[in-house]
Amino acid sequence: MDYYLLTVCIYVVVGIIACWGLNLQFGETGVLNFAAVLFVAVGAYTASLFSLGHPTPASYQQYFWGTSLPWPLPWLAAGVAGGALGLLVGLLVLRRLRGDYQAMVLLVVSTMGTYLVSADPGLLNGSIGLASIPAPFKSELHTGQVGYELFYLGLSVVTALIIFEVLRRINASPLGRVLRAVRENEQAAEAVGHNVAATKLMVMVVGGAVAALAGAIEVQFIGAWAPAGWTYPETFGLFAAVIVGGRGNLGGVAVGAFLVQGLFLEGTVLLPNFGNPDVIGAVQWMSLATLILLFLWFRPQGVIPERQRRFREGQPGPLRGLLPAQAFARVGRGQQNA
Amino acid sequence: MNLVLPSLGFGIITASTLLPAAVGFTLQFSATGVLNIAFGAQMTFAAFIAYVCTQAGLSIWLALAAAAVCGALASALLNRFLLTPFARRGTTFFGMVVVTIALALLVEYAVELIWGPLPVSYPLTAPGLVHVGPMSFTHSQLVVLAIGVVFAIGTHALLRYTRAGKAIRAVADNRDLARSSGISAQRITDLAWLVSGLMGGAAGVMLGISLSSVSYTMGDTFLLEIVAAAVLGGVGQVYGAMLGALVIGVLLQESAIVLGGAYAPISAFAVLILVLLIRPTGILAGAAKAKGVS
Amino acid sequence: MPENSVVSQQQVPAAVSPASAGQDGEPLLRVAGLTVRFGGVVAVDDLSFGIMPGTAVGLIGPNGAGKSTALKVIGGEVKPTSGAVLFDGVNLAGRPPHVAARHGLIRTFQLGGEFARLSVMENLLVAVPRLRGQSIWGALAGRRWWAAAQDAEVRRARDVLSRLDLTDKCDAYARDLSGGQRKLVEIGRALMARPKMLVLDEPMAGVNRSLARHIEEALKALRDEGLTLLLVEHELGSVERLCDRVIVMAEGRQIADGDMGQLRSREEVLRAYLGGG
Repeated sequence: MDYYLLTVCIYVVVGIIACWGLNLQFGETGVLNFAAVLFVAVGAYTASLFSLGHPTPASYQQYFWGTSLPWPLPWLAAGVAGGALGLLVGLLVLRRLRGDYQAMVLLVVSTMGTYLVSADPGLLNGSIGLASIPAPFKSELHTGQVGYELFYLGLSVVTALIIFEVLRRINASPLGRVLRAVRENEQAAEAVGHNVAATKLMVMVVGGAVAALAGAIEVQFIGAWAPAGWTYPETFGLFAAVIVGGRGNLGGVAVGAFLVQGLFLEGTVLLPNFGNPDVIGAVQWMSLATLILLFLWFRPQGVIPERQRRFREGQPGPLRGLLPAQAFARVGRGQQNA
Repeated sequence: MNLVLPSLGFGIITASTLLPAAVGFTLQFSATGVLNIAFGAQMTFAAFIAYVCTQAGLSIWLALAAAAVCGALASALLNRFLLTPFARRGTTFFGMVVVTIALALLVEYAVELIWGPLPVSYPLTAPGLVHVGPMSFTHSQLVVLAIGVVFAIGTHALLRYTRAGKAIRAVADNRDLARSSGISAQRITDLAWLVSGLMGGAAGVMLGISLSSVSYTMGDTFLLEIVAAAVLGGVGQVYGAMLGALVIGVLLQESAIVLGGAYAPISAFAVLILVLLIRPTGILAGAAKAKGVS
Repeated sequence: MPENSVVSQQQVPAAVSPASAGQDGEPLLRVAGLTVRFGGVVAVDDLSFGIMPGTAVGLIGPNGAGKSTALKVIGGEVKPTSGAVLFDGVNLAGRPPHVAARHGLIRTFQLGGEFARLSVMENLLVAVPRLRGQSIWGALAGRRWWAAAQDAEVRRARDVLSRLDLTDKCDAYARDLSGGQRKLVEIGRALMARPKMLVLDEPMAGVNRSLARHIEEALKALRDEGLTLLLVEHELGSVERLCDRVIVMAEGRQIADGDMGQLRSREEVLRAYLGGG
């Protein structure tokens, strides 16, 4: 049980990171990235290729290229790959298309990725997927399974904290304000001098890198990755978490990821087995869909809504270096969604 | 032997199925402004309704008609009791998309729970082949082709010669302007959902016939091809969607022959991306409209 | 009344000194041969005019005359079929809106121009050009890097807000304001962008009488301080009080140019209004 709980914890951390990536794009900037899970997948495949080693013809699995680098290089490579994909997709989709087209084309791009990997078994072992992806330090640490999972959880939590700090800085800065302005009104953001296309491109790159890191963490933990794991309903799972938790609020999104990714998608395995796995899958997705509809109807702002920024009255005093919060106090308050 | 010409026949069949679906999808999108991801799931639902009808002893063509009607009703009810209330609550465009995705999951997995995860098939009469030049068709394929053509002509007639059709076009062109010139937006929205449900329902059954199997993920997979056809033609452009359906349909089958079946969807999407890079508003899109705050 | 001005000398120097915006005798904005076609429809037909720095010009005409389209071309939202938009010596025709804004040409919207789920203060701060912490690297550098610069802008924004009578709305979401207050927020936001020229699309439309008066006063104060204004407006009384000069458009074409008093007596202007309006 301990073992299983730890596994779910790692999944939840991975889910939180992926949702934070999507939150930067969708929650803060309003980019409807329907290819969100593609970024997670690219991160997972990149980390796999950077840890599996050179492919041999005798091997039971085929992939086009591979090397074996020590941690954290596979994770960093995954982040770079995710950012590069964000740049590519952003240049393709965001600069030239209207918002409604963007969403559709991103959906098409995501599915295209699934088809491409499944179609060519020589690329990334086709629809069977890659397996035996080594876990970092597993052979060096002689800790047993539970001990290793504890170690890996620590590794992922530290990574998550670093990502949190990066995203928190963006969120709290003047840049975060520009992102929210783009979300609220693209035309007006342009009209006051912000390059909306470039801004969106930036969040595709940064958010893509974050989502890819989530994929890397996940794949080095479970050791396998196949196209069936990143079809477009998975993207919906990420969106669900962001909406349930609270768009634009990092803490809220983390709660959402915990509720949706942890309790709904992983936690149902903890329930007593009722019927065949198909039924469980169907019930899972249907209840997730219902949850989303309920939230959009009753609480569209999510469990923890975006903070309303308040600006303290008066001039900043001499203490401001010591007490930065005084000059720029942020007070959370409930709000209705428009 | 060169298979390019014979597979053109398959391409045309795929296009005939794709046509009502893409037209229905794009018509509803342009008239109501809701990007309906549940369209594929609606197709699946209708295809299973037709399956139930054939099990009850109806002929497949009667079943198709029944499924189309059911699709239309379901679509209209959906709009009235789910989407319109959400829109009234001020749910944004993005929120509405998420609502339709949730709906897609609900319908799709409900279908799985009711009819099971394994594909079923319609009882089709023994396939006698009809040869047209190098192409050969089964009888059911020819009927599918005929239905596709009927839908193309029917849509044209609807939009060109009926008051309702003209109103839909006006709303699709410019929603605010149409509203201010006295067209009832609510009635047009209802009508658009009804028509798109009808077309989607028929397309679902046609897809089941041409694939010779019906499964709960069928419409969802096909949705991507519908979106590709619609975007290729320029979203909201009904004639563009027809052309897009033809191009994507033929391309899917031709690339299956030339590159192998698994690559077919990829090549079709690659062409879509290429077209978007050259003409972001689709192949048939007119001059850019001055959209925005006016 | 300098103490009552919306933008004082030391706050927005570029906005107040006409000489800094263009050479003597050179128009700040020059539109030359501007034509816009949508499909077969000619929305704007060979429009040419110049606006001298420090002047306020009204653009009027019946509905569908092409005024809003002309504004959108000047702001960069619509690409002209042909013609040039020279602003401060740079041709902006066909360039995206943010380029126009960065050159100091700021436009406001007829409807819905505010950032709804941003507070009034945030609405204003968004428009500050090149504020520290607006780039990704500046943001990652942390609060210490941008806090002082932002505080200065917060003080400037408070000034603007107090002069627009919006001080008590500082922390309210823009969407919770009345229509007229939102327009004021937009004007305040435009001022934060350090504009050389404001292009206003019906700033008084759909606003109650007293607030419309308030907006008019604010614009008048800006004009008196030397900010260049171009406004499209239906309320001819406001146009007459605010503008030194009025350009009349009908069916995409410029049919008259002069001061309101002269124009009132011209027959084609009256005909355009009575026939088309």
